Amino acid sequence: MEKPPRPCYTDFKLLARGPRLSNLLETASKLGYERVAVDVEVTFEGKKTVIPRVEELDKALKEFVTLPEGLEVLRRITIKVDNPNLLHVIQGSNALEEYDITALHITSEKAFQSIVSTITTDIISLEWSERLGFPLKYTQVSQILRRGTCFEVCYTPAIKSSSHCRQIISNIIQLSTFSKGKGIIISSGAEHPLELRGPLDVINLSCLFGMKEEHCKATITKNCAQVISHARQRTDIVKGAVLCQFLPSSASDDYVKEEGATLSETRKRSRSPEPET
Amino acid sequence: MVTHLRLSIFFEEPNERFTIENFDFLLTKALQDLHGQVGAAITINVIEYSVIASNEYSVLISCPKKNLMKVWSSLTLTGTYQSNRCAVIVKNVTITPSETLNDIEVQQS
Repeated sequence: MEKPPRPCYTDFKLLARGPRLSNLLETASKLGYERVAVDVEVTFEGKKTVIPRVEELDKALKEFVTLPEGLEVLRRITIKVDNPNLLHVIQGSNALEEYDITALHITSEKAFQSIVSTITTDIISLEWSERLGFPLKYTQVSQILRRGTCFEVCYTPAIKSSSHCRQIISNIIQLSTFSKGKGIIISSGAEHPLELRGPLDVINLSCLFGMKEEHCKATITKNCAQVISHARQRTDIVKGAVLCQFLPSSASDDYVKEEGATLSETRKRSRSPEPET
Repeated sequence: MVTHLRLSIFFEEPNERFTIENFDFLLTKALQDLHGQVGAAITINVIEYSVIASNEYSVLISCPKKNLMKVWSSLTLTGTYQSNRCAVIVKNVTITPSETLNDIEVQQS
């Protein structure tokens, strides 16, 4: 009997730089991860903020890091947002599209409310290790999930401090109640190899967060694949298309006749079915 | 019903005085921190203990199957022992202890 294909375990947040990143990637590969993302964190403070080019990260990866075999390394940017008025600036930035994955780290209620309806990003993370300061709402969570964006939880703060651990468990139980366990990814957020845990440890940890058994494994496999496909849709697909067509001579005559009519009237006429002759 | 867990413990700095009693203390403290007195009361037996390097140890423990999630999660969230950074990684979970000796790396990946 054939074995089922091995799931691709993913960790979307490695924060180390320089020679330590090399150790971290090696540890991740040993533990059984097949895909990781190296994160660049930026705090957004208006138009003056410079989003680092992806070439800088590529250069750092080439200089210091020897990539272990069989490990796919993605490039990710996380932008910390506090002021909702600045979100449109992020939306229009070309530098963001160079990264494989983009994430928003939301720190205020207003920013969270405004991203629900406007911003398209791959991952949203909140300050899970502290008191949120605003209640999560079922409608907001489901609206975000419907657009294919996932919520991210990092477990490293839970390892470092017991008070952070308590807050994380409390917040994630609340989140998994609203999302019914769907659309949540669990990442390490590790800066040191000893902060990294094995894939099976992470799956078990998600059981502790109150998720159902079938959703636990998805937190580091299926949902991560969903994030990657969402990111590819955002970057690889053309944003819009216009169909140009020559009008037949009779149609153009009609258009000239209707030139005086208002746009709304023309639309009404075009929608109403034509009488059969 | 009993479950066996094969663990690997890594320390940041070499810790040559880490004995089986120290591990027992680490385990009880980890359970108490996460699950309180009820967690600390779970019966756990240390079946095998071996030193792999000065900063790496391998331990085989057994615990009741219904408490597996509690034991495993508390070990995962352990990050320090006596101000020395450490990590406990569960390599394998099986019903019989002999299985864990053979399939350590296969099961994890």
